[in-house]
Amino acid sequence: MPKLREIKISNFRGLENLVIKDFSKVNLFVGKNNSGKTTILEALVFLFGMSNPTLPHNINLFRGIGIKTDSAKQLLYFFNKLTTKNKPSFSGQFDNKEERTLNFEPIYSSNTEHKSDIQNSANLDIESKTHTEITGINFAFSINQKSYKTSILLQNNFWKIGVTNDYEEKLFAFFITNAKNDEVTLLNYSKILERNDKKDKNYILELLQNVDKNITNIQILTGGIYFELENVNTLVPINIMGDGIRRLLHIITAVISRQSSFVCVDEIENGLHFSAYELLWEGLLDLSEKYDVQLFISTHSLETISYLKSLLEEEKNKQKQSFVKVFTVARTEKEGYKTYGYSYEGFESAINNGIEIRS
Amino acid sequence: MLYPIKIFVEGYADKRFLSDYIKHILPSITIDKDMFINSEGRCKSSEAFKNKMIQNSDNKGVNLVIFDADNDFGSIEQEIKRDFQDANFNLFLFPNNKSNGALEDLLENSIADVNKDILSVGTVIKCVYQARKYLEEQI
Repeated sequence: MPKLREIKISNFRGLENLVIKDFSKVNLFVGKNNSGKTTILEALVFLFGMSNPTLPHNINLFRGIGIKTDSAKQLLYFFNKLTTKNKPSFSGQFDNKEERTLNFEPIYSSNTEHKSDIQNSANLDIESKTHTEITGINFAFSINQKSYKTSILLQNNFWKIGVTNDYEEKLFAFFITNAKNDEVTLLNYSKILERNDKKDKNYILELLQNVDKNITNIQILTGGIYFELENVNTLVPINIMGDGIRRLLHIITAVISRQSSFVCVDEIENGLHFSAYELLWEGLLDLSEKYDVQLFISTHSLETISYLKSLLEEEKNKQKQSFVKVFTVARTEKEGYKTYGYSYEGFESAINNGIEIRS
Repeated sequence: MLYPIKIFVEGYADKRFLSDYIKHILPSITIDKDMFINSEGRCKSSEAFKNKMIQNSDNKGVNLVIFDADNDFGSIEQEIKRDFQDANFNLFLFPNNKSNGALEDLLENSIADVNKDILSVGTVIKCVYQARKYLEEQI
């Protein structure tokens, strides 16, 4: 399965223009609050799932923006500066020379004067009057210069989805945010059990036992995932367990559940105690290789990166040093948003010398 | 508006000396914790240094690279220019930006005559001996 090497993002949320080159197998994004890390992950998800016109809804839901049926205004949040003339576009290059692009074209309600306004003037007042009347988006995507179209449109208080049957998506991406998503975890864990790979099952159990040593087994029953706990006679449902357990299981099952995918994790450290970092990284490095998964991870935590560094320093992991790359995401005075890439040697040396790579 | 100045050095002693020197000659300048970027051993930090220089330039900042000339001023100068070729920076090599040497040579040349004794091995040994004696008495 191809690996993404480069992405270009234009006019997407706060990012006017951003190019990120030389992705590796495991990619970390670090930066201050509001530096665009989550937006980059969202852009990646759009690129990997470019034929799926429901992605805007799903991605907005992760941000806590619900799906409304009386207004399509939430679609405007994808456009830079909330102005429809700033149309989001994405392009990506893969290591197998595959190139894909995705462009957003706003759809306006039929009673707006948008067309004539745009033709006659770039008057900002008119622009701001019309952009609130967005009712949908046409998505034009291409792969190796072959083009397709899909759409999402709010019509008579119903969302109408336009798909294409001419294109079958071969890539698969997971987006793990801070939102609890036990249903997805259940689905992924079920897939893992179907494979009957004891090693993976044991690894998951061991990972969770590292956080809670009372866990003796994980079971799937009607209604979800349940835990067997030492000295507890009743099975405990996942939503009663702590956030750390739920998040670890969510992340790791996404990585293991299928061969050859892309997994994007926002703020990986959230909900996790530092004692879980080492085993989590060990698992992510091993399993991303075993299952051919490319990882894109955002974090604020230097501790998280330091654990990764320590792990990569070990003799048995040295060959994995080249798998990992850290990107500082920053908003700059002259260049706008920009990333600065660090190889293992670069971020190891920065951490050892107290050079701040998170800003 | 004042744009950030970043000074890249290759050791704690260099950072301390330059920090004190700036405070002495420019007392009105505030030295914030991010002004110095320090690494023990330049080679291993070249990517981190270069990224930080480019990022600072992207923020309209000014980069100063102050390293030691060591035993070959010319080749060290070339090596640094090659390592950081994508970055904009001003370079100064201790002791005087033209001779071989290091910060220590600059200090040796600028120390007051009355204090020159500190540089003799005998004085250092005497100090260590006295410090040890003092500590033993305290225990």
